[in-house]
Amino acid sequence: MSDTENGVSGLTIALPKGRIFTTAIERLLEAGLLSKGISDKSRSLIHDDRKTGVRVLILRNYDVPTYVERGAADLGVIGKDVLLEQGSDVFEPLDLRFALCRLMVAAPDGVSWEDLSRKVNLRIATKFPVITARYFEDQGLQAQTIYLYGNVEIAPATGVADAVVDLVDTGSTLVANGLTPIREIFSATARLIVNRASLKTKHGRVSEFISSMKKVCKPGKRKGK
Amino acid sequence: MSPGNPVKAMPKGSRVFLPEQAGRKSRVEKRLLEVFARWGFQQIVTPAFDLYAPGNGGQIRDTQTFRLVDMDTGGLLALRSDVTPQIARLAGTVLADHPRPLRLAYVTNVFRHAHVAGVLRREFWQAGVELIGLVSLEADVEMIAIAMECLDQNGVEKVKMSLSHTGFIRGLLGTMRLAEDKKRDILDAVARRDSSGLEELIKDVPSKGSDARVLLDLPELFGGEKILDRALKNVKNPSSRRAIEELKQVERMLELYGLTDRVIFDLSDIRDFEYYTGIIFEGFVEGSGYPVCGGGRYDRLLGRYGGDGLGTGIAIDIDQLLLVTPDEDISGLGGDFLVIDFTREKRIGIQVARELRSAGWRVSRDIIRRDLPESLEYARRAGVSRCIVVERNGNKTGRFRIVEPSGKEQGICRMDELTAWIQGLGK
Repeated sequence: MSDTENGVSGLTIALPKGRIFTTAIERLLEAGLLSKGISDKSRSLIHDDRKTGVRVLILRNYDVPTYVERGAADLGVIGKDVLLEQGSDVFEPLDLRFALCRLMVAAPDGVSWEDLSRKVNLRIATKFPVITARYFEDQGLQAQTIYLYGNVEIAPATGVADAVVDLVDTGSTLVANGLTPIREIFSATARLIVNRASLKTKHGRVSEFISSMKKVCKPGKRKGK
Repeated sequence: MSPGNPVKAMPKGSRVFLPEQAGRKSRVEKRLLEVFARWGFQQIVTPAFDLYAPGNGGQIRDTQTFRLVDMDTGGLLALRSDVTPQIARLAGTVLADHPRPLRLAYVTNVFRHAHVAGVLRREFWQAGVELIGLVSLEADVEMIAIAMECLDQNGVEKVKMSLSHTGFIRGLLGTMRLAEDKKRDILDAVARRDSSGLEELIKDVPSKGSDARVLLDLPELFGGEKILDRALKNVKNPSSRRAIEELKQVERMLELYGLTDRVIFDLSDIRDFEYYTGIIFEGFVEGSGYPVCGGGRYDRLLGRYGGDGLGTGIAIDIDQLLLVTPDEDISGLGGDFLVIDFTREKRIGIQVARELRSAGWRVSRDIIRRDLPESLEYARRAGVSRCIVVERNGNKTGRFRIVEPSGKEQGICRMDELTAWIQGLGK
């Protein structure tokens, strides 16, 4: 096999633009998997690290699991929210313990979970239709999931929905729109994901990559969130 | 979106193979059947539909099964979704008294309502073998060797066969008292190698012994033979220990086949947990995220139909195999000769074609009225080896030219030399 069992040369990692990118690059540098920083403002979307032989693809958030699942990248860094929403068929062997995200049910101030569950025709606006539908089913509630592309916070005030399911960071956007978080669906940090075939056919290099990342992503290390 | 044009659209998930792809597919299948035959397996054809029996289909979830109403009884029929249970049933009924082991092979389509990589697929092509009536691990090793040879014969490179054993994780779970849905969540997390998810799930399990810690270690238990020793060192329950011992025996036997450096062990592989009962394996090709083949021991399924309930098998996903099989040189695949006759009577063209065919050559006639460059372009794209060109005055001259699709002239032949020329072609 071409697998040398040494080094990580020839591996491709997909990174999402935005929130996760900067910390991911920091950790890759710290782990010695990259020798030079990369900015997601860069126009070029493919970067080859001459020293370590690692290739970085810069992608849109939702495209990362697709590229990894289909083998265009061996590895990827992605939020648990995207993984759950897409249900991609990839391995997720390492919790990177940065970029914490919380997905919450938020309702207009003063409306409780009990109020929502008594609604005859409960409507929930969200950018996460799959997770939302599954969550309400698991609670034994019939809810209509209304898929919106963004700014879901204004859906209750405009009468489009009774409540929302959305990522909550500081919560200030919710407050500004008269919403209060009432239930947490999950809270999770970013994951290192791996293509199923890469884990098998390049197992020496892939496990070296994972263990290098593991060393710099210890529990409790949450700076750069 | 409104549904597609009902005249032109095809139902989602159905699959067409155009001539070139159909040719590739049938050549791939032929090579697979040849491998099966060389290992002593005989082909069997099973029915396209069966009585619908929920929970009895083996591997395929009932929600994926196509059902139809039986016009005879008013009951339900199911389209074939998996060949193995059909063969298992035959082994326990019609073939119950046949001497063991049974070595059976198949190539067929199966129907499942399933999403692969986010795309709805409903028709799948498979080839496989079942080896029934043997308890020995040698039978399992034979399956791995055959699967490897199938990929080799199709020129597929950079393959790793990933080996596991269902008894390992079954033993680990057995040491903990778990509710069914908890067990399902744990298996799901193992399948995704989700170590932090596992930690979360096991956190509040009461009375967990040291084997629970091995479960947390599971996502890292992949690689060479060393990981088997590492697992053996830490695990206490007899089922898991026996699984590792069996994998070690398999590893020693694979050495006899010269395959040790083409397999890895990955104890988190569970395939379909309810279906398999021993050694399991999946073949992966670099650059494709989905296994190209898989199989294992399924004694429990066989036991359902009586008999000794011993069997192991492989299935090769022909759709995936076609994706990773290197492109072939198509010249010659579209036939040996294309006859292009510009005379009005076509007497020469028809005669040449007839005599070439009776000598065993594959000959087609370019019946469309078009000029020579267009006909040659067609020959190139269709993968024809050579063209016979009869010019407009061919009846008068009694001659035709032999031209390569590239336009290169190979020679001229007179009709009175035709027999000798064909003999000279040597078939």
